[in-house]
Amino acid sequence: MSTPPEDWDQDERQALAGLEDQFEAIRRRHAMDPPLDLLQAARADILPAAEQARLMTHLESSEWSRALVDSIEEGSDAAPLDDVAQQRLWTRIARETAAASAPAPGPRPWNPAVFGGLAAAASLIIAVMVWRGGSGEHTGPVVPPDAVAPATPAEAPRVEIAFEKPEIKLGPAALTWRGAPSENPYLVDLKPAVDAYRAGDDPRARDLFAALSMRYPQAVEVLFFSGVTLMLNGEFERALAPLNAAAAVGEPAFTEDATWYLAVAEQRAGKDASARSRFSALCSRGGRHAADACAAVRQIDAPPARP
Amino acid sequence: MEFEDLYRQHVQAVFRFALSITRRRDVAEDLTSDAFLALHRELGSIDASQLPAWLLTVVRNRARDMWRHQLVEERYAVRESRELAMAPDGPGLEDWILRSADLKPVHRACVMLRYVSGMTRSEIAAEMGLSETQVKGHLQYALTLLRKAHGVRQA
Repeated sequence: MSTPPEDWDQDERQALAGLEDQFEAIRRRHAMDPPLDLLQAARADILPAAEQARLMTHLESSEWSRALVDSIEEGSDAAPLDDVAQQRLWTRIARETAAASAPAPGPRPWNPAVFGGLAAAASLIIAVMVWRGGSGEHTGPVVPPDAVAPATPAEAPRVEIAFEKPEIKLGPAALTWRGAPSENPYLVDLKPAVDAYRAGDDPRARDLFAALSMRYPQAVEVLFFSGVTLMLNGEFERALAPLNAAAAVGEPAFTEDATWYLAVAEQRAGKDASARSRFSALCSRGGRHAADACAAVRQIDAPPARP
Repeated sequence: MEFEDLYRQHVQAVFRFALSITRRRDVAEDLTSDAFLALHRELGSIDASQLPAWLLTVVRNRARDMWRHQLVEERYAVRESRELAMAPDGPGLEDWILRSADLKPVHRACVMLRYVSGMTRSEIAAEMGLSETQVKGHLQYALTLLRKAHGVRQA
């Protein structure tokens, strides 16, 4: 967004001459209103409950915000999908249904030599979050036998978004422990998993983090590394639940990483639409993974290469 | 009915609904795609009479999931606390923008977005599904009304 009135053209400047101060007063008055996309999401009743209630309270009390949302809604021209967009969307859906219908590949070992680029660092906070069903993974879509054959060839090679093994990070609950590590049961329990992870024993790290997630279902780093170690063992579908939970904890230092790896896991599990949505959000939001997320969106959108 | 037929039959309704709740075409396309992928997975258990309502429910649920990941509370909390510190000025121009019967919703929206939210014409066009030329026309019309209402003479 530009900062008015600097980008007003000559006609606008002339038309609004003498009213600049009044517009400035209105801008000041509403400078801290909730952003438009939030207001619109609240109006559509698609926000989490607490935010929904808060935004609706604002909308009820702010005639300006209400008028803004209503006027846009009434004045917009919701142009339908044109033929090109409709076909593009169909191609994308067909490609994913083809991938979902194809036989599931076996576990694919992670090869650090293939991938480059992402670094993870920083310390984290252990936040409280309800474990949302680590065993509730999907076993794959049930495709009825009479389902329509996809429009794109099933043998078209799928894009696979690359990822790098992140470094171990510990949250403040561990980092701010004032006693000896051996006196903290959590650190004691965590150590074998961390050691296996650092030693590159990914299968053992996966099993140890999985066991830890049963004992410490609220520890964001356990959730995160449970997901990551599953990914490192090629178990992308199973990685979704712990990564989802890690992202949902809402710990700022963790959220972006968890969302990135969740998006990669989704893409590698064949859920391109959901993955693309997350990559797109990471791309537009900026941050550590923005460049890779933007590249991932381009990769997903690229037409499949011919075999 | 085959999956592609169902897609052709319902895609516009699903996309329009997605657009109406997200206001962004790229996101609306993502949600539409998600909904049809879900339909493909459940094709055997979904009765055609449940469509497109079933698809719209998927879109709404996906939109909720999307927001759940966006740290909404944090964004709003900061703004809300600052908002309280802003002392309101008198009505005048704001009152006219909100209540003038001469302004149609599209004019009101263009004025609010352009001169208060600070959007460019192309941003407004994208937000409202209009062309930049249309936005410029709506703004010119609104400014004409504004000058008359507030007795501002053109230089």
